[in-house]
Amino acid sequence: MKIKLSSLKEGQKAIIQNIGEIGELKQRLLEVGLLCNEPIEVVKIAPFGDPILIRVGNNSFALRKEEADKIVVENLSARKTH
Amino acid sequence: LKTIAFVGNPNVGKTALINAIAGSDLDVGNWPGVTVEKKEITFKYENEDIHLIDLPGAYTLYPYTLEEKVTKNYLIKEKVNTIINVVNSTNLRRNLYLTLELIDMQKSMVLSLNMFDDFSKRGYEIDTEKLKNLLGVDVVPTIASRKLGVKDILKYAVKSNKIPKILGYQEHIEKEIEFLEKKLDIELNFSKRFFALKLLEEDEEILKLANDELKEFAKEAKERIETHTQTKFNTLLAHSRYEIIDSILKEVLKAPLVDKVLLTDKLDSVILNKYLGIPIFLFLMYLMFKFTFDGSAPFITWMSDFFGNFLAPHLKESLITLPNWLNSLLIDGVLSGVGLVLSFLPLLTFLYFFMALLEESGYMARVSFLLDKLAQSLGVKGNSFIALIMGFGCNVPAVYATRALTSQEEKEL
Repeated sequence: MKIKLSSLKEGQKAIIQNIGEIGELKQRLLEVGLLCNEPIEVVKIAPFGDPILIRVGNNSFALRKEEADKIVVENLSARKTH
Repeated sequence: LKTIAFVGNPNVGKTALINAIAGSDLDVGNWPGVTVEKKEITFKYENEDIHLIDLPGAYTLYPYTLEEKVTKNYLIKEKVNTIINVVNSTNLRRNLYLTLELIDMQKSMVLSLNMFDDFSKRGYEIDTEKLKNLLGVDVVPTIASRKLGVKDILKYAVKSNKIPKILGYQEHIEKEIEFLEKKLDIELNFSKRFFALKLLEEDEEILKLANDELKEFAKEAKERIETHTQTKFNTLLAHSRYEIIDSILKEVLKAPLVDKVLLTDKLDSVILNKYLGIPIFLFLMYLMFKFTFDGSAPFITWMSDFFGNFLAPHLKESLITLPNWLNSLLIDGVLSGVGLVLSFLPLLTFLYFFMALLEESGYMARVSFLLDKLAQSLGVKGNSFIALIMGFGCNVPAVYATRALTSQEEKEL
């Protein structure tokens, strides 16, 4: 099931499918290892629902909601419960 | 004179390492035109003049922050004989990205696996011999805080001149690098390969060095790669680099079966809690100011007492022979002025102590995360909040705190 990264809940796991237009930040995300087909996990969502803390491998990153909106992921947690 | 540059990601203990080598004789200054600290030292090592320079922390040579720009430009423009690449052993996957970029420069290089104690503590093991063979450079485990491996790294950096092996990227990228290398005839102090890659990445400084014909070739090459692979060049390059990193790590790294659940994870779930996070933050800030003002109050009183009620009358007596105007200038002008400034010293000391405590414990980074949404509505990032809060207390530390912000505009705001 393909959804936006921003709609994942805390503790859910997913695989990155596509990173949309988020300007300069896209390059930075690529360099820190946020690539397509990489598995990620939503670790924490800050108060007010923004930003979102995600984990890729051993690294954690915080993303703003507007950025997470433009990243499409395949939700793995949802698949298990079906 | 031999120039040795320290390059590495932020917070890998680069400065600690250079301190361990050079002691306290480092020259600290600023890079021209920017508020980024520059640290260097020149000394004699076995009858050779050695110039060590600490380049600002960088995740990549594709600059995003001011620090990265300084580092990249230094490596491109200045004459560097040897690079000491300092990596955080506990986070090799991310750190090796910069290493691959440095390898492309084809300069003599030494790899320092820093924070090796943490690495072993977590149950990781690495085959340094194998890593040495794969990269073609000397690999030295170091623990800067305990000065371990420090002598070796300096010795290798001065003596050996090992140029790292080229690790080939995706075939289309390699083909176009080769194509551009042939078109290049500029005198460079780094490899043509790096120049070609930077041309494809459209790096400003590199484009300035290229003529129109070369730029046109690079543009064509990039288009060819993108049509062949149906992927943006930068994406392809990042993927390709991570593929290489993963294949290296697969050969040399032995990770523990279960990564220990760290205490920090448990703490995080409390201080980053949806409901508790902000109250905890406000409480900590309250405590910090309470301790700063209450704790420093007796010292401040003592300090101003010392100047106003002790030093001033005594000096006045002993200087009675001086003309009246000079006496007044010294006592009411100089002495009370200096006294006033010094009486703030205890306050600043306390504030710095707590600031350092929060920063080193990593709480500041978490505050940025907590308060980012609020800060966004003011048009700044979450990390600006610290500077803002400092501003309530005193302006000087607030100005200092802005140093940690990422962009120039943000700093001025």
